Amino acid sequence: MDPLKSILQISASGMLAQGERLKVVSENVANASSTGMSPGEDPYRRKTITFEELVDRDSGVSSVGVSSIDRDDTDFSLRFEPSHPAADDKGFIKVSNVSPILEMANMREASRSYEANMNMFEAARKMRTQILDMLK
Amino acid sequence: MRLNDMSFFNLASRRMNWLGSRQQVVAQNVANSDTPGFKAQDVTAFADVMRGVGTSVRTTNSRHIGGIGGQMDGVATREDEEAYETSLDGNTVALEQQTIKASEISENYRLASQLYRKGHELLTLAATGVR
Repeated sequence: MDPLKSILQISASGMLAQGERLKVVSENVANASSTGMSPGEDPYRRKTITFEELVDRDSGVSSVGVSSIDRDDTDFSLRFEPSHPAADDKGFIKVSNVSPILEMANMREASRSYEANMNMFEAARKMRTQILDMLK
Repeated sequence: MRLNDMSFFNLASRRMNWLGSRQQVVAQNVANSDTPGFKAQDVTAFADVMRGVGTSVRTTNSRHIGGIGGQMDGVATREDEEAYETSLDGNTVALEQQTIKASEISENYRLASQLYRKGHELLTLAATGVR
């Protein structure tokens, strides 16, 4: 395939992957205070996302894709809240392991990477325009 | 009249071909800038391509895996030795470096296409006497 054409495809795969990452981040942020409803029940467990290189066997183009969305295994912290339906006999509830700072950093990184892909897309588009301009 | 047989047009179009392939590799690096273990890549230098040094993998059977599809002859993709940053997950793509490379390529592409156009104008001038 024409390299300039495949750049558009590659950058689009990058943007798609970063968008997926942003989705996971927003799920984490939205569920940061989701708790269980019965004593001892686990609250929301933070999601993580991993990327992998995807090589197209026919064209040799290496784009990017989401390899897996997993759960973060770190321990939940406890909060004293005896009136909560999920409180145990000592009055503690488990709260989710989402760290707002971490999610914020992740979000920023995702949008920066998205921007980088967008710039590559734009650069390739400009190069194509130059070629087409030679027809004028 | 075959434009590509003239050394000037041949040079300009080979240059544009090479720049296109290189931009593709940069785009791959940027797309994979968050992939664990991904190593930044670059293509054979243009001077080497002109000398015919870095020949790509030959495919003699339809089931062989060749180099990157659509790439011109003599352009091979290899690991970038100038990548100066390795993150904790083993990724060696530095976005700043790739951005600089991408704009460099864009500018050179513009230069090559302008040259091609100028050469064409020169021919028109020689043939018709009017600009």
